[in-house]
Amino acid sequence: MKLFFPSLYIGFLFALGLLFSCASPDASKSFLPEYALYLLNEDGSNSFFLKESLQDTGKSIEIEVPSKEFTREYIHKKGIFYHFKERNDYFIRYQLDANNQMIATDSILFKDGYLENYIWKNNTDTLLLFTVEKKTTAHGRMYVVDTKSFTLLREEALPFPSSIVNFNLLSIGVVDFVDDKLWIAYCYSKFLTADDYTTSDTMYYATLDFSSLDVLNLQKDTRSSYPGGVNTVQSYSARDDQGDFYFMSCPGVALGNNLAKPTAIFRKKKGMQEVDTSYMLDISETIHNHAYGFWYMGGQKAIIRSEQRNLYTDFSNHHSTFQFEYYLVDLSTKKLDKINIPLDKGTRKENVLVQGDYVYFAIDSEGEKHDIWRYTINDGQVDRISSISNSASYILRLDFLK
Amino acid sequence: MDISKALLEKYELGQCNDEELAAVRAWLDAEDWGDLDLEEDIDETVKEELWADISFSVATPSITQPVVSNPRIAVIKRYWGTVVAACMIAIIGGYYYFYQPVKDFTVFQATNVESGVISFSKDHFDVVLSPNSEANIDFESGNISLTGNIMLRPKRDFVLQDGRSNQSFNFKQGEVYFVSEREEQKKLIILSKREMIFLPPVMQRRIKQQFHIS
Repeated sequence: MKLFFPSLYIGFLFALGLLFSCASPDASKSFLPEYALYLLNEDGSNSFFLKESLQDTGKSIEIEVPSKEFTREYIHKKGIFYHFKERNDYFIRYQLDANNQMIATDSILFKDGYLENYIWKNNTDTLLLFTVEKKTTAHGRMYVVDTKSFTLLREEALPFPSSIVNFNLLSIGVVDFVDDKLWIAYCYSKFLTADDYTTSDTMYYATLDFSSLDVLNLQKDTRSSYPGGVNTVQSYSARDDQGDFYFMSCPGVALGNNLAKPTAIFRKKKGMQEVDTSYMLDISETIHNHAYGFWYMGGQKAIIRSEQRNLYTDFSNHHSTFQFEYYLVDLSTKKLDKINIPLDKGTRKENVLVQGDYVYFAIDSEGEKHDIWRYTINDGQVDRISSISNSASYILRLDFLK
Repeated sequence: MDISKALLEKYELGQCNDEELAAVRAWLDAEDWGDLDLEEDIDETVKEELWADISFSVATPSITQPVVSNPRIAVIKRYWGTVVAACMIAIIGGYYYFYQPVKDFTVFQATNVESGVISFSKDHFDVVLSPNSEANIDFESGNISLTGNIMLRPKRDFVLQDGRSNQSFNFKQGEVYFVSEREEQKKLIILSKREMIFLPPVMQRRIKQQFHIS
């Protein structure tokens, strides 16, 4: 109601504009954006920067986020956004309207929890969501949502112990779904002091029957720690062209905080229930640093995003230090090549987009630059192709809306 | 029709009558859900109330100067003991009446040994102390020191220095800061609320639980 009079006024101006210009003044709003960048701005606000093209050509518009509790931890598919509102446990669906404003269109009330991971079941409209209970962060739960009708089909507790020895914080880091079986990689952390924690030396991989959630197989892996992470914030796994499933472990300070373990990439081969114990791509051994973020590029190659421990001191500047590098990883030869783009800032970002012959990076580099960089897969050429609103402090996500 | 949580649940279960269905659909089509609180924002209200309560109880005492008439010496001699007692009361009273507010203005010191958070509202800032925390904010020396974690909301811009690391930090009005002591690193970690998304999920949740943010 409070928007009634302003909208009446805007409507009046709009009509005047039509009279005098004979062109729709709303044209700037009515374009069909192809890309959405989720920004954290200098003033502390968040916004979406919608673009027709990642090049400097084409229209763009900056819009508000739909509510002040909307965070970067949203799920996006073909122009529809889903967000779990932690404060009141509503899972809400949002869409862009004809004026490119993001509006809520439906909601489902969940039980309390923190969203840990999601996966589209067999690439259908069925969304599987995995949460941990807020109070203890020790009990896992699965929600099955039909996103077409936006109804909750099922919700059930996951059959994982709430702690292992005295490690009592559960993280559901990676999820895969094959042949009506769920495969979940999880781990446990614990607090050492009031504000220092670590993660246990074991990664657990459980295979569950999807209908009964009975554990069909449990594999323990001590080669690294903290598989994956919250996958709304950043990607940590992918299936390659041959159907093999790859995922990354993140024991560095920004996730697992078990620094004795290496950041590594692991493989679950097509048709296998267990992780291939003969395969491990040790990233830390090669670059002497930890990394967070894994994006599959095609042709047995992937992109990773790594920190530089000699540049940041601790959590006071881990996010604001220009330290993040991108490497091209050959999953078969295990060779790493640094991509020649400026150092990026921001702890954990979903800012890498693989599209056709190119990989796009949304980079926040020194000198308050917020640019889109393009890597050409065929010849490895790197170009800066456009700049984003200078009110931005961090580009936290880059999504393709089609 | 008022949109309540119960009504929305009914809607989700498909138990709404036509009137209710229309109301919910109209609401769903409405533009902003941010304004419609599906549930009371308990944390904010509790925090506000706490702040309000505490600021009331610790509010600057009314500056009513004790009226002292100009007594004759004879009277003073006769009531010597009483005069001394009166002076003592005046001095002690004066200390509390005058010195305390000045001290309150420049130096803030608080300890929380409770299992919940404690909030204070001061001229320069609002502050919430997590359990087992202690905070010292001294505007005279410009130093901040603490054990544990606090949330600080400045009411004006000011600069404070972490005495141990000698690092200065600009606090801006209207922003909310998370300030955490790192004993092993002998320094404070100061993050604006918006920067907390960069902390590891384990830490973010710990802080949310400590301060009842969600």
